[in-house]
Amino acid sequence: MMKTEKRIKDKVLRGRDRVGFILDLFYALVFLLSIVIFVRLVHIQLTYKVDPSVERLFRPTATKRTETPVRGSILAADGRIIAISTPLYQVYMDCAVQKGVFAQDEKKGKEKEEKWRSEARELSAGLSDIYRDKTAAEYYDLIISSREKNRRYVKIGGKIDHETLQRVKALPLFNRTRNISGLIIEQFDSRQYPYGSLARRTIGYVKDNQTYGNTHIGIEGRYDYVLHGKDGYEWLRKTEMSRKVHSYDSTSVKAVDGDDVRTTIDIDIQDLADRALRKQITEENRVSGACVIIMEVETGAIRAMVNLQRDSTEGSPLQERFNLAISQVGEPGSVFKTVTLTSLLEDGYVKSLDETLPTNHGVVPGGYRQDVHILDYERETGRKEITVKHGFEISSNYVFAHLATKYYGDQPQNFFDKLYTYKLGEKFDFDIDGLGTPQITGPKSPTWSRTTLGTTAYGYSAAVSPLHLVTFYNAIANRGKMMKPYLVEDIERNGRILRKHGPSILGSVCSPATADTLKRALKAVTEEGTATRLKNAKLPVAGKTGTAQVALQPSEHPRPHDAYHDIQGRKKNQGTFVGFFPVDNPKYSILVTVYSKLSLASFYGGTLPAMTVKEIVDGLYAIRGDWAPQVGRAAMMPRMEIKDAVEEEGTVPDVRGFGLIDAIYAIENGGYRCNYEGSGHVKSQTPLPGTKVKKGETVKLVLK
Amino acid sequence: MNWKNIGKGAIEALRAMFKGEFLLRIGADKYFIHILYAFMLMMITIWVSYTVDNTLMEVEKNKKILGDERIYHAEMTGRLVELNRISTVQENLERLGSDLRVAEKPATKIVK
Repeated sequence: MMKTEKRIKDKVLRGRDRVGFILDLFYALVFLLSIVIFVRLVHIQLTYKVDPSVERLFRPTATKRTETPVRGSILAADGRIIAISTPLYQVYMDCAVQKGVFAQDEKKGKEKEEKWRSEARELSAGLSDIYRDKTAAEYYDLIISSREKNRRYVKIGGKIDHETLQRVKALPLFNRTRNISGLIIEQFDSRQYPYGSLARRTIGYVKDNQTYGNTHIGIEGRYDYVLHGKDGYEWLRKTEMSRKVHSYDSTSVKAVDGDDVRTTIDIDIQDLADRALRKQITEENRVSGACVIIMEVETGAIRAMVNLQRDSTEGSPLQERFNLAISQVGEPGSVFKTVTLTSLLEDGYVKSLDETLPTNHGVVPGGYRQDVHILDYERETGRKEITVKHGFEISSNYVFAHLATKYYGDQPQNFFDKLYTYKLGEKFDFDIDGLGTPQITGPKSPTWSRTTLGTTAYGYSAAVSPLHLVTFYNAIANRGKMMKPYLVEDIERNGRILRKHGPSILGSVCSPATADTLKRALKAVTEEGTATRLKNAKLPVAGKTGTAQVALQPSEHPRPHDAYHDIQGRKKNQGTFVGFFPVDNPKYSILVTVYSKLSLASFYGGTLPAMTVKEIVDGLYAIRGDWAPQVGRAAMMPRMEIKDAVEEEGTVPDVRGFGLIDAIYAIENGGYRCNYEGSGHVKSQTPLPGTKVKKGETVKLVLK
Repeated sequence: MNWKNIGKGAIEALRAMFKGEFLLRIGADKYFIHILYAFMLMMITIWVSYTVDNTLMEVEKNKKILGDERIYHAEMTGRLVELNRISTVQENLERLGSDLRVAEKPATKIVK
């Protein structure tokens, strides 16, 4: 019994030992395996290099392609393109292409290499013809020497457009597949401005859709969020024929192209204004810059905004460098008298323009400055009284300082409150960044003095931007209703309007009756006053001139107690004309401001600015049909026959009865030169119609 | 079933294959039409996949053509717009020695 128990006990113990041994072994194996796995992990992570041919098989075949959006266009009011995005291309060449393969081919390698080089020679001739930056021999040398040096990324010429790229791709060698030609093409987004620098400061500038300059200028800057669009991507997979196609198994996000911005800019008016301003100031080297704003009276739409400026170097060209029209805040000078007159009329202090006030030798009671205009007036007329209208015509500082101090002297805040009502004391929201904030020195201002009210009345002690001024004058032309100036008409996508901006009202500046009185006063300025250069404009213009001296910066070394003159007595002027036309039914408001360099000479609003306005008004009259003369159907019209002026090749066309423009067009189309005398319609022509004459000969016309 | 039976079965199957009786032995003749159908489905799948690939390649090609045309259109529009400017017209006329000038007055309108 005892023996049996002992045997069982031994057996159990042996069994336990065997289980323990197996478990120990299993543990040791697992431990060993974990060490192997750990070492293997470290090895794979740090030192293991997969054979590329094996790696390729394990890599996913799909590749990601990012889609860049096309930047939206900026359009003129009539839909003409002001800014558009098109790609440019840079061509590179892998000059060592197939070189190794040819070298390994003992049988035909040499022959193939010779053929490649022969095609490269033809390619060089083509590249030289297209790029014109190197001769064919130079191009050939570049390609062959790069092939010798195994260069695989050789730049060919500069950036080219799409059309030129097609010509490059059609050249010998480049018209073959990539692995024979070595052609590498890189695409760059590029912004094109078909009108060059026209309205550059208003439109803005970007190089491409990825980066834009460090300044957030113009519509390009302000509306970048609309124009830019959204990036997208897609996954491509390889087909059995090794071509890449869209993979529908993967997610993709389509790129959304940028929307178009339609502006209020009228290209013809902008071009006209730009040309007119350049004509007036290009030769005048004492002018540092100038701006023009043309605004549509009824809507407040800016139809043109020109900003031309020179840098400080002598003879530098005029360029769109800074938006003077919206950012140059300065003392406006006499153009501000209209503001004072509006307040006086609206508050009932002046009831008629024919009201008189004493001339007082041009000295405001309590003041010390004498108005020379009044002295001249007294001398010429012998009168001791002057009407408000005449004071406005001759732009008398005395008259307006006198009226302002007389009626607002007790409560000057009333006058300054009016300025805020006219939006001349605040910055309003505008479609591009940079609108200057006006500076008004009211009675609560620390710089207020007893003369501030009087000087503000004639355009000093207050500083406004040209845009603020023209907005105010536009309100007068619009019978008191002040329209908010705007540059963006709407946001469009493929011609469909997504968001309309359009006109909006800023407020009311005066009653229609006051506006009519002001129109009369402003018309008198161009007919009898300081802007008589506009008297003979093809459309009647009403407006006001203003000449202000510009306070000098400390760097310009002003005199100790005279901020307007430097130590040599030189000064800076700001000459402005602001008004509207045609007077009876105003269509456009216009402002021209010319800024001078430091000079001993004076620049007046009635000279360069008024002349520029005349040039613009005359041009607009001609190119717009709005004011075309009209005749009734029953009126006598010159009898004209409809005939084909295009004659047989080499014979003089019959232009008798034609107007001059049509006649010149027909003759020049036939290859002849034209000479004419008289006016009206063509009465006779030499040589006679149908005569065979060599091209380039002159056809003489007599008009009657 | 034991290993012996499995071995026997495998040898039998191999023999049947050599004799060309395998499908009959397993009674596949009853499902012949299904096999044909499955085969046809496989063929169709391969053919559709090939056609889809071809179509997608065509789509890629057309995308490129459309892109090229769009770029060409944009470039041409830009160039035409440049010529359309009144100043450019005037300059070109002067350059060509023409007496033609931009009108100094608008055309007379005939009204009722």
